[in-house]
Amino acid sequence: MTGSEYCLLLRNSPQQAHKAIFDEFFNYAYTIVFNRLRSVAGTEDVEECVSDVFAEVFFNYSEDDKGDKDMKGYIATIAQRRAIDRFRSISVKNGRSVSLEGDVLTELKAEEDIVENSEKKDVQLTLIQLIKELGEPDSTIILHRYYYDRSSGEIAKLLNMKATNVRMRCKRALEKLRLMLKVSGIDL
Amino acid sequence: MKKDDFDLEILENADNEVIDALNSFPSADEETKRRVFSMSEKKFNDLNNNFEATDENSVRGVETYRKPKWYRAVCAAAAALVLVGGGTATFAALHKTKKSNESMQAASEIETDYNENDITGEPEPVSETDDEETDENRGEIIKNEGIDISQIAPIAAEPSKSVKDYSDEELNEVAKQLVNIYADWDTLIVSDTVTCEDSVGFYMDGDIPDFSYNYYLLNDPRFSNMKEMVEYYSPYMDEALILSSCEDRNGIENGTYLDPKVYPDYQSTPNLIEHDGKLYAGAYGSPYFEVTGYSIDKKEDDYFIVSVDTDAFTDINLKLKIAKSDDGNFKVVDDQDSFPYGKSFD
Repeated sequence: MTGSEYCLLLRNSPQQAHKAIFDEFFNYAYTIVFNRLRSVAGTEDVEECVSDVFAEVFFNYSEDDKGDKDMKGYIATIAQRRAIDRFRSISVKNGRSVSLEGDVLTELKAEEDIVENSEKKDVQLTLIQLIKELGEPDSTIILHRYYYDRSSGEIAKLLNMKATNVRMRCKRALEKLRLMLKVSGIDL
Repeated sequence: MKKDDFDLEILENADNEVIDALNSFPSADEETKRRVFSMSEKKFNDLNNNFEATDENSVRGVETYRKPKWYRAVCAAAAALVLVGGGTATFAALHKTKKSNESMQAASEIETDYNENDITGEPEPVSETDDEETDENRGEIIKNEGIDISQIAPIAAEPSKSVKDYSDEELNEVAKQLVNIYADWDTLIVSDTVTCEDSVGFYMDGDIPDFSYNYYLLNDPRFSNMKEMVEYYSPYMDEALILSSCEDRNGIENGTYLDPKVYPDYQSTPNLIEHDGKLYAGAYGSPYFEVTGYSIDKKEDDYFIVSVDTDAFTDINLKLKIAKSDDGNFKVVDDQDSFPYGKSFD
């Protein structure tokens, strides 16, 4: 959906416009927010933050808007900013000040260590590719189990499967993934 | 399910490319989506209705602040000081700029005098009469105005004397005059007097009509048409050479497609054209340059060749052929350069 399409929809029905843009970009915004908050926040905080993102997007667009914004880029920017705000807020609440031993260090030095960042990115992309090669539903199971930290019950709900099936598939998929990682020379 | 020691922590704090890759997987179930959407709508309505911040840093209520009575007087005094200071600074800056312009003009005079003294033996007055007029008519400024050569006497050649019999010093004097005049003529199309206030365009085979070869009005105070330009430079340059880069396009309507069958004589892209009785300069042509030096390459009975050094960004390898002309003066009769397409004297 482009900005102009969204604004057109907004003139006819704001509710429908909000729903349409939410449906299209929810996954994207959630992915960004979770990626930033994974180490400090629980599911509730992530969901709160994502809802903040969309409230801001809804609020910042008016019916008179020309809609010349790049929607994906715009939502990504807001999601990143709100996630960083939330990260700081949670860190303060947890008494987790900016410490040289904390995760913040990774963020602070990220811009300087170009080689390390590049290598990390390569590993990240290779890892995602290998997970994809497991095929569905195994790739989603692995990602939700070991990245989103979901239980087999939650994953089962997401995939309309039985929890026991999820557990079994997860075990086999993990063994397969470990082997693939070994062959690719990636040690997690 | 007991969690293994396996963890995809490495995917945290990823950049956009990795986020896009992760985005290909579903991140939450439908129930979560509905819940988050409801929260978003509620927050949006709150924002819309109350314009209140929802985070922990929100501020409520208004604390009235009254400025002390003396504050207004101090502000008025400060404002007056700023005005006076600003006015003084502006005056000083303008005065300085004027001085700077004068010194630049003086430098220009020195440079011009250098050329002209070398040419005539007498310093020539710098023309100031056209400055105001051209400032108004100039339009977009591209490069400096040309030098006024109308008062410079051409250097006569002795009819019975071979060029070979001239000393290098004598020929250097001739070269110094003509090289600078040639440079003035050759850089007309990138001179200060080319304006964008009026333009004409023509296109030929291979051109896109919307991107025709355009010519821009040459608002040169020294000459306004081709005839006057030829008269202006002809005491120092061969007429054929001057006309070689200029074409008469009077009567050809602006925007015309120069079909080779209809306009066989107009298949080139000259530097200058006359259209509607006015001179226009091409958008493309020789680069702007100033002469930085020259040397005599070759001497023959009737002519000598001067190699010219320039400060042009592109190396133009300019060479001029200077010969004794029929009217008894030394003139530039031919040129050779590598820009855009070099030609040879041979």
